[in-house]
Amino acid sequence: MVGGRVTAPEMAGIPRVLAAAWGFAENMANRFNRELKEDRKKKLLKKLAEKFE
Amino acid sequence: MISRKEIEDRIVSLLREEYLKYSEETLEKYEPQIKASVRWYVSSLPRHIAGSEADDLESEAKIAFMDCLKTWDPRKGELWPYVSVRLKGSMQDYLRKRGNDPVAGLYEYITSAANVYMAFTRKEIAHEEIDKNMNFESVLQDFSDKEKAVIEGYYRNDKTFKEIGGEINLSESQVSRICKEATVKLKKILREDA
Repeated sequence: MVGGRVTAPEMAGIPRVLAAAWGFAENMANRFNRELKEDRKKKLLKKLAEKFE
Repeated sequence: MISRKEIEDRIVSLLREEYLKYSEETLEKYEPQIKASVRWYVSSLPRHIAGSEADDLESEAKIAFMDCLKTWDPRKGELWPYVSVRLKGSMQDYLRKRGNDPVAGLYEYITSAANVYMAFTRKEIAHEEIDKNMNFESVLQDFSDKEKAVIEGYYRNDKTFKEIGGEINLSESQVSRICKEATVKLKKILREDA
């Protein structure tokens, strides 16, 4: 609990602006990932979160 | 306050930036489709062009494919429909440029001038060729060894990107990129000299 609000575990560590558009980000990461040979969705999202910090 | 659209644009742009690090994988994945597109396009060309340009058209299509990845927006649709239209355009552009290329024209000019002089005297032609070649060498003096090898191989010796790449240990697409850049440089120099 932080300031009366519950932070969802999957949102932990993700900047707020990005968290608000997380569904969209996942969708886009999926589409880019589909064009790769290996599954890199998690990596794409991790790097995205880092760059949003 | 950042708008929703700005956030989405930024997400797509950052994801693309990361995705492009692995773009070779996408090229590999789509290679059969690219080759099929090139074959289909080449089959519609006159035989004398198809025979000599097929390899280069494939390199050109691969470069166009990689360029498309830099601008592809997954919000607007799937990758292949976006790319396939542009591949044909890039091959058409390439052939158009080859036909009117002033650098390619320079060699044609040297060859035809040489043939005319040959009709008069072999000695004279030798001097004429040397003069022109020396002139050309001086134009190329600011080029790197790789650029020189590519320009000479491609325009002077009529080799394909594949053949040149084999000689200087570079991939077809690298040779094509060097050729493109060196041609722009060469055209600039030739325009300044004119």
